[in-house]
Amino acid sequence: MASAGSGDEKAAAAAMITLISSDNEKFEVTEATATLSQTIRHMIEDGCTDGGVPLPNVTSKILARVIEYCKKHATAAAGEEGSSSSFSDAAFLEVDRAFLEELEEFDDAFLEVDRATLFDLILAANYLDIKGLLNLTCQKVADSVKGKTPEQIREMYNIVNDLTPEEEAEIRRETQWAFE
Amino acid sequence: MPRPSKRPRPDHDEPAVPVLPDEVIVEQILTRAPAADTVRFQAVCRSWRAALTSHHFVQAYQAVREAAAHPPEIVFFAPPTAGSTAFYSSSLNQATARELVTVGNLRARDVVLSGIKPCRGLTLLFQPSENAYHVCNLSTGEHVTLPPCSPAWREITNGPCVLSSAGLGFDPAAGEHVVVRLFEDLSRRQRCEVFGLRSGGGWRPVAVPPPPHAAKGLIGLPPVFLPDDGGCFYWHINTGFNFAGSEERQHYATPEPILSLSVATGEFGWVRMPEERARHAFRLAELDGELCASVDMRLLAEQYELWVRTPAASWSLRCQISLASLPRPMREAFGRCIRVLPLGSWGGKILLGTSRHEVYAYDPENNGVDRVFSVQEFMDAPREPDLLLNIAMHEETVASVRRRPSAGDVGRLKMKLGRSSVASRGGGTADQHRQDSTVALGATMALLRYIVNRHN
Repeated sequence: MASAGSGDEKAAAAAMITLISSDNEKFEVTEATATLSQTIRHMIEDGCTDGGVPLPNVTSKILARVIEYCKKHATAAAGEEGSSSSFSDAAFLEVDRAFLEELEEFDDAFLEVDRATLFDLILAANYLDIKGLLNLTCQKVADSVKGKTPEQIREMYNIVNDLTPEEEAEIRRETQWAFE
Repeated sequence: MPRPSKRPRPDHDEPAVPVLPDEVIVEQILTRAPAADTVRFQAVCRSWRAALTSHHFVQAYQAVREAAAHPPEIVFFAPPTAGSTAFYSSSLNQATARELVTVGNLRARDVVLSGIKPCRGLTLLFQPSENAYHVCNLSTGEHVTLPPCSPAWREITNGPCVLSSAGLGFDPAAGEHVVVRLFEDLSRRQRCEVFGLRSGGGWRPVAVPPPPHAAKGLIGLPPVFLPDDGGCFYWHINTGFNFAGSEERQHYATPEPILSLSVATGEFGWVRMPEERARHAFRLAELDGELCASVDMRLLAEQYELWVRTPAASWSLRCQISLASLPRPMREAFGRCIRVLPLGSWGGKILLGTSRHEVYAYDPENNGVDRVFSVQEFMDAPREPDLLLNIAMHEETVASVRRRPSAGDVGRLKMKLGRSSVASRGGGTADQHRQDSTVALGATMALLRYIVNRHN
């Protein structure tokens, strides 16, 4: 990677990275898309992406969705950077608002998945350290725990209750107002 | 954690749901859930109990909130039924207010918010009729009632206040919240006592006795707490108010109008006002971490001035809010309230809370003022309070009051979590204006969030 001069931004933007899913499928993405993942960004900085980046924790089905998210948001980032000098410009804000609305619609549609896929996306976003995707998916799950009882939560997350009846009774006594 | 072979809903046609590690659930999901729900989830299992009651979770929860860059929230309260109080919160320019908690045995007219923002997530409530103090997390409803404190002298018969003032702060050395109370007792002694929330053990006197006549000029206003240098409380000592026109006024006069108390050393000190404003009426507040004096010059120059005390202990004029140059309805609305205090700053503007239960965003660039919150939008506003404001900044937080039920620490408030929300009543041009600015605010917030996310 010695030839990749850090100042040559055009070359960097055009550089392609190969991501390899756990089931050995290869995905070619631009560096701009890939670096939404902090994990991959660090690998690029360390110069260890030659020959592709193996992602043994992510299946091709999930990786395809993750890349779809990153592509959309990387384009967003690039578009915004180009016009950031006229940040206070009214026309820019107008364009930006339309664009943000589009991005929000994309995010909403993106979340229309079953629970298994949603959880897989969370695991992938956490592993790849993609802040925006992690926030989006986790907020969706967080919204669904609102008002739930401990019993419902255990069922949702397959959690075994290892509290003794006495311990549980004491916790409920201490936090009794939260159960009314 | 072994994955159960039996799926929760075998008849369902969903693929197997992967198990999320505890760390992801707690740090990424529960930090984005409403604070009140996390209290109930302590009863899920042992590891959740340990995680949700840890200091680490409090910090992680706060970090997620900060990264999300939500617009500021305002807390206010009202009586939903006679004899009870409901606390609500609403983001600026929002059309709904969320009910946080309701307290069944607290009259709304018997509540004094001791401060204009929470101290590390907690709020001190004073209940004058009972002479009782409660420390609450208004997001989760967790609270503790402090042990009874000695009665204080009432200088003006039937006046609104006794010679007593308490504030909530944080002692970093002890790692606990402290409530400090300065008062004159019934045998006319000046006393200052502190109660540690974690250490408990009752009210104890501070290391050094308060200076002579210190409590004579208290008018019930809580002190301002600043976390710098191990924590410091600042009281406004207004002898002229309690002893107007009498010889006692001279006798009880204090060296300076502001008394400070260092939490770290337990020592008192006097703080002077800016020389040129020493003779004007003022109120103390905190603005961006600095001590702020809101100087009321309405009678002289139809303006407010905000002075801040820099770390070098010198005062500087932060801004001059000229009422005279505001458009007429704003000039009147803003000029007629008893008191105006800065709540904080946001997006280059200073948020000013008024005793008429409103918040204005003041733009120092062009002396522009926008109303961004009003209790009147949601319900009939109560009368102006005798002390301070009936609104404050709200922080959604899981900070714990560290009550220890086993040690007999109990909260005496009949707390219930809020379930409902209140819609704005709307009405005419003000409402249209609000909707316009809501759209603008929404877009700005989305943009800010977006930029923050990208740079993280």
